Amino acid sequence: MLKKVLKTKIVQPFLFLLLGFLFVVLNNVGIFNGLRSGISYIFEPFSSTAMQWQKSVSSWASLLFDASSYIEENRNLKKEILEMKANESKIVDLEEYEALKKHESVLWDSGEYVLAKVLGNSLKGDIYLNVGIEDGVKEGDIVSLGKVFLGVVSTVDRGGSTVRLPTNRESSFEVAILSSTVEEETLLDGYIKASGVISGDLDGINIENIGINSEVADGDIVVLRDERIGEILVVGRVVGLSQNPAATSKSGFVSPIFDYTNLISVFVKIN
Amino acid sequence: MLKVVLGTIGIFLVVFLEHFFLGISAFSIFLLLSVITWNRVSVPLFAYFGILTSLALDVTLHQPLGFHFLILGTVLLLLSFVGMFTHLEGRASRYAALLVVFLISYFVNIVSISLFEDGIFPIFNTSILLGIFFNSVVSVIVCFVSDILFSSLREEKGYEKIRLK
Repeated sequence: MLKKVLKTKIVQPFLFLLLGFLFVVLNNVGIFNGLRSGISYIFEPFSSTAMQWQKSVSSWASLLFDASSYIEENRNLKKEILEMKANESKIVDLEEYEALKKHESVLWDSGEYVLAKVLGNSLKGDIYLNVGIEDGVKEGDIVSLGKVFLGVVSTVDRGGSTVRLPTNRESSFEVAILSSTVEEETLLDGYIKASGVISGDLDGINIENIGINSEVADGDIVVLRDERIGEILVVGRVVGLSQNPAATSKSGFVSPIFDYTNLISVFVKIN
Repeated sequence: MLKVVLGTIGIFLVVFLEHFFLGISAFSIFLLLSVITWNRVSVPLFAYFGILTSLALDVTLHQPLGFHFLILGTVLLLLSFVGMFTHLEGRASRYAALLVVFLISYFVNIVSISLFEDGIFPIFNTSILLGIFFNSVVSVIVCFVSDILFSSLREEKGYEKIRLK
């Protein structure tokens, strides 16, 4: 009788749905951590290899289809790297930079980092890494590259993890905006032009709640100043600042330092 | 025993291919195989394949366990529902119905991922919608090819059975 019922077409989908709800509820309670670890041990090597092969195939395909833009992109990347190094040295060399920090801590903190390879990107603004619980990574860890903020670890398994980028719609951080020519400033408070809030969007990173009377301009540097992150990291530069005089605050977009689809290796701060 | 071994190899292959094609064009081999194999293989084998593949994909894609069960259940429910209104064994109506099923399945997949992981409804821009349409069309083409392969295999077996001495 049971076999006959199970073979009925309409019963099977409901069984899967019931099983799904049960597993999701039990997963949230944390009962399946051991099972996840075991499945991860068996299947993560296959998924990592597949993602790496996919990246190679995708980059070769794009190279074949668009060779000239690749050359242009390479040139722009070199320029960006030089610019980034120059900007970093502006922020690092100045003693007054410590005035931006809420805590009395050393600029170059001696946190422990894990080098991770980026396996792929998702449509909604995440990247997949090849490090997980066995490497000491946990939810909420900061992911960066140099002094540039890349994201926060959102889900983690035994051998892999997902990082939520600033372009993810769920991302929202407090930021400070520095002058693009910060080394010319002589006053402590002069470095911070304004504060604001960044939030993710499918097309990029929005920045809002900038004081209407602030002198923020396109090209100014956006640094993270959020107590959930706990350190000052660069996000990008202000672009497309709104010019509406009737508005009560300014808004615009943030152009990230790096193109998140071109990341190869990143650092995850585990301590 | 042979079916179990082949099914196990198939699970590893599906996990590999799912990650490979998801990265290239968000194409889901899991959805495609679920539609092709449902009612074509025995219930225990389908359940074995479906359950293990779902669990493996949930962990490797860092989603909560049970997520792919929900997706699988939704897809099969859609197929059953569409089957009530259209004849799924006929030619044109079958593929039109499958196109609708795949379009809705990809849409539900993207919405579910965003709701489960981030708790927000996703935004669909032109490229995502075009991607869903392209993936659905490719899935229907693969179903068409698989139908031809299956029917040619059946004809060969049938020939042996009905041969007159």
